[in-house]
Amino acid sequence: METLAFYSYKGGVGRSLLLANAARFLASLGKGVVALDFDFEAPGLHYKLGHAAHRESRMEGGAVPYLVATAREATSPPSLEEHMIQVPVPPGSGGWLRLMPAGPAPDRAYWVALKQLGEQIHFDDPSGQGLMPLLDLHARIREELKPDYLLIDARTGVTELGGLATTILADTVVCMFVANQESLDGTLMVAEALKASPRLKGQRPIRIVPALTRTTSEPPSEGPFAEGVKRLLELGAGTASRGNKKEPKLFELPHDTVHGASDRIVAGERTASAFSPLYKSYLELFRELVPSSAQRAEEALSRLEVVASIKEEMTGGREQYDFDDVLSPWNASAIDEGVSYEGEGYGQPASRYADLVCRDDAGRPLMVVEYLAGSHKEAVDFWGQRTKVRCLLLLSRNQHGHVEREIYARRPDEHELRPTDRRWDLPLPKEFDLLLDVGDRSIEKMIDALRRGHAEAAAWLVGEWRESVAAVEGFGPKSPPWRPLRARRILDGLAATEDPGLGEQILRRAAPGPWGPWHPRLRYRRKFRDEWGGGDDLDRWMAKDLFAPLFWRLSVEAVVRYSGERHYPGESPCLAGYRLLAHDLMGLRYDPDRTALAEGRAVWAQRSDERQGEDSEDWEPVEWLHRSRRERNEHLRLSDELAPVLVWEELGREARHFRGTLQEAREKIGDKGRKQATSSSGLRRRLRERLDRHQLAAEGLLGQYDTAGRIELYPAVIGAAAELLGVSQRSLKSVAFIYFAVLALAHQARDLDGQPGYGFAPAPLRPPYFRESPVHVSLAQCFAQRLIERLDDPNLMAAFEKLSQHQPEPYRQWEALRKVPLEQLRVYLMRARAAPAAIGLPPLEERDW
Amino acid sequence: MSTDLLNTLVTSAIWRAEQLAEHGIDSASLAWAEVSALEEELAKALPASQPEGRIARRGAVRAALKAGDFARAQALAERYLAEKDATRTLRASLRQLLEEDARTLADRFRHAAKAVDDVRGLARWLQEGGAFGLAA
Repeated sequence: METLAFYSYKGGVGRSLLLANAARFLASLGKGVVALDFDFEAPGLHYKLGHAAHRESRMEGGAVPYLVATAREATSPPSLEEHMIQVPVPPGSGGWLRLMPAGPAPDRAYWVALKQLGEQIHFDDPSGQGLMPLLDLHARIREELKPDYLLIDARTGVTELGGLATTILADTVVCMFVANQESLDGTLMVAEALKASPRLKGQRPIRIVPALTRTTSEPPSEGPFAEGVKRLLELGAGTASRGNKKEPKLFELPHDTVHGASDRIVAGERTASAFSPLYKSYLELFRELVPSSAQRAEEALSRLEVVASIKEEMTGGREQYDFDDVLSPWNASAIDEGVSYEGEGYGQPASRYADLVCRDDAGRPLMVVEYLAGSHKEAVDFWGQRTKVRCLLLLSRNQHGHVEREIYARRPDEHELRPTDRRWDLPLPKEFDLLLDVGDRSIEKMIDALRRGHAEAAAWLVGEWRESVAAVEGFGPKSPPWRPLRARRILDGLAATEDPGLGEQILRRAAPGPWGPWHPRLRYRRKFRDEWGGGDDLDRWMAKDLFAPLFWRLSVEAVVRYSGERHYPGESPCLAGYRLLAHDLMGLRYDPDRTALAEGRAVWAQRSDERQGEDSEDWEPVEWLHRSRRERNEHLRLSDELAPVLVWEELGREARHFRGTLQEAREKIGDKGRKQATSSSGLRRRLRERLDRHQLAAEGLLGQYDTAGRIELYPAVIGAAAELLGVSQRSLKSVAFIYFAVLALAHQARDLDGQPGYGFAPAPLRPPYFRESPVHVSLAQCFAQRLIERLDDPNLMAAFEKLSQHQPEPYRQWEALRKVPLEQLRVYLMRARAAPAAIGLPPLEERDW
Repeated sequence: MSTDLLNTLVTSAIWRAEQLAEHGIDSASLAWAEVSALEEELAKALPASQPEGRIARRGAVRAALKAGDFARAQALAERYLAEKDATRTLRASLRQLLEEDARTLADRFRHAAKAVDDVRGLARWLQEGGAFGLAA
């Protein structure tokens, strides 16, 4: 039996807590342990160890009643069992732990017994009558209980009992002190006395282990405190443990506000939440106190450290990527720690220890984390065959001490777990909904998930796209590799989304900044900036190469939704799609925010002059900006109305000499005429006639850019036209949108002089048989074609080409412009923009530019 | 004081102490201390060479042990053992008295019996130096 005494010159150093943890730790190693509370004046070990058992048993025994009884009874000593509590230990450890509390403190009976003890036993009695009961108790514990370890909580300060517990009973004394001179000096004095104290025959010299507790910072390395620590270590070195030739070490037990304050006994626990810096220090100390436990302490420490780190990672303790905000981390309440998992199925009942079990909302286990001590195969077989978990994370340390992870997964219908390529990105809870096999988080599988309506997959895909192109900007050695093909696959997958709602989500996710500091994505940007040395540039790449193509390639309905719905006040849709067209292709500047602000400031300046002396705030320009944004949100609409050309045609049959506006014409034909005109058979017939005359793509049949600066598309007509042309309705709608967007930008965007393109201004009235300028139309179609070519979307290109073929010859001049260099094309555009009116420009053939 | 008177006093003191001890009265140890004091007086009056003197010396030590005053018993025994005229039998019996006391202690605390030889030395160390021997 090895006797360890825990002593402190001053109180409040966490002595009892350390003893309780040491006791439980040793018991968890399969050792027999007795803990003895000799802090008679302030007993409390039973509060930390076996409090519930002590309370339930209403035990009246303990060290003080035992010694009193021993002093009385001359021949028959009291039973040890009556004075001890059996303390529960971690199941399956094979060890045991018994506590002899000081007594039934704080009951009055205890203090009566303590008074009697003081009267009956005098430890300094030269006959030995006072010392013998103590030595007898020590020997009885050794002989009757045969523990491996006896741990004694020695009283604080300089007392006879404290002195005896440390000098006569103990083999090892842990001297605890805090980082102040008073505590250190007292400890040093006692340690010197311990070294000089007499010992019983056959006893080894006392081993002294100094421990600095409740540390919050490094202890001073110079001055009296450092000198004192050095002396204390010298005393400890002189009594180093057998076979321990290492340099003496000062054990530092950090201040732990969580475990320390709650007096939680964590030793022996295998749960990740037990891990704390204090527990880590405990284990290091135990390793010194009980060298035979070094390996187990090492293992326990290693396991806890790894599992705690994994849990922290899973619950979002680490910095998360953007997509993780949507694929949210595990909720701590969904993770059970230290579960003895009962296997299902036939055969011998079996259970296995799982460090973490992650469950879904219904409590079904989804994923198990096990820190592996044994063979991988055994673990994989058990979790694969005896449970229904879909994912298994095995953790182990390799020969170099590095943590290795292996992730096994399976589909719900599979019977065996398969190794996966995943290593460092742990499956998140939502992934179990998104993916049938969480082991395969490939682009294709995520796109599948997207098709099945999981918008979260879009966020993940956008995150992956960013990582794939981050290297473009040369963000340093830490940047991920450049993977353009992967980025392209992501873009194509996202763009193929049919559902407008999902399309809107994709656009939201793909939209780069600017974001306020509240925006979760800011963290991602910070990561780029801090780790890869970039970030802002990536936003520009994202706007240009991800958002803009998606803007044009996703369904028009998605764009309408994205442009219309606002999630917070002041939110404005990203303009990168228009900017790509205006800046990169047309050589124009499209920045409605800046324009609106400039206009707002100009108006405000004018009004301010008029309202000299009045109180005012500078809100008007901002108001103007908001108005501009409101208007912009309605810039694109899908209209149920009849296309103007159809209105005029319908009316032409009834009122040949009508001279009113388009609105008046629409009212005149009424609902009946509207229904007639838009009935599928009627519409098809009319469109077929136009198709034959090559007039399908003209005269604002599919949509228009109107005088309100708005693009209006007519889905009913587009649908019928797509059917006739044999192209997809969605593509045709997008082509129409692109074409009218070119017209709108040619009109609204500014050139180098800040001027809009008057030549592309829409005609105020759309009279019957209105003819658009072939020059302007051809130029617009040319830019539309160049955008589609850049988007590299075969569906869009097919729709564009089919549509283009069915228009009168003069309007097909864009084909002649295909090989014109972009700069030259921009020159043409500038001229067309400067033209006074859209009608009456010379045809392109005349080359009169 | 005459030895006769002392003998009379010590006889009654022994009877009184035995009676008190027999009835479990706490003051028995005080009575034994009184016996020890009277025997010591007798021992002063009688040389160790005389049988009465040897009896008084043994009685003083035994009574001190019964009084629970081991320190006194040990001091007396050491003093008597040092006397020149102490016979071999007296010395042997005095040592036997102390050993019997130790045996009694060892019998009472049989688990720590091996430590009995050391325990008195430790107790003296504690008595002289206080806790941790710091006052020594």
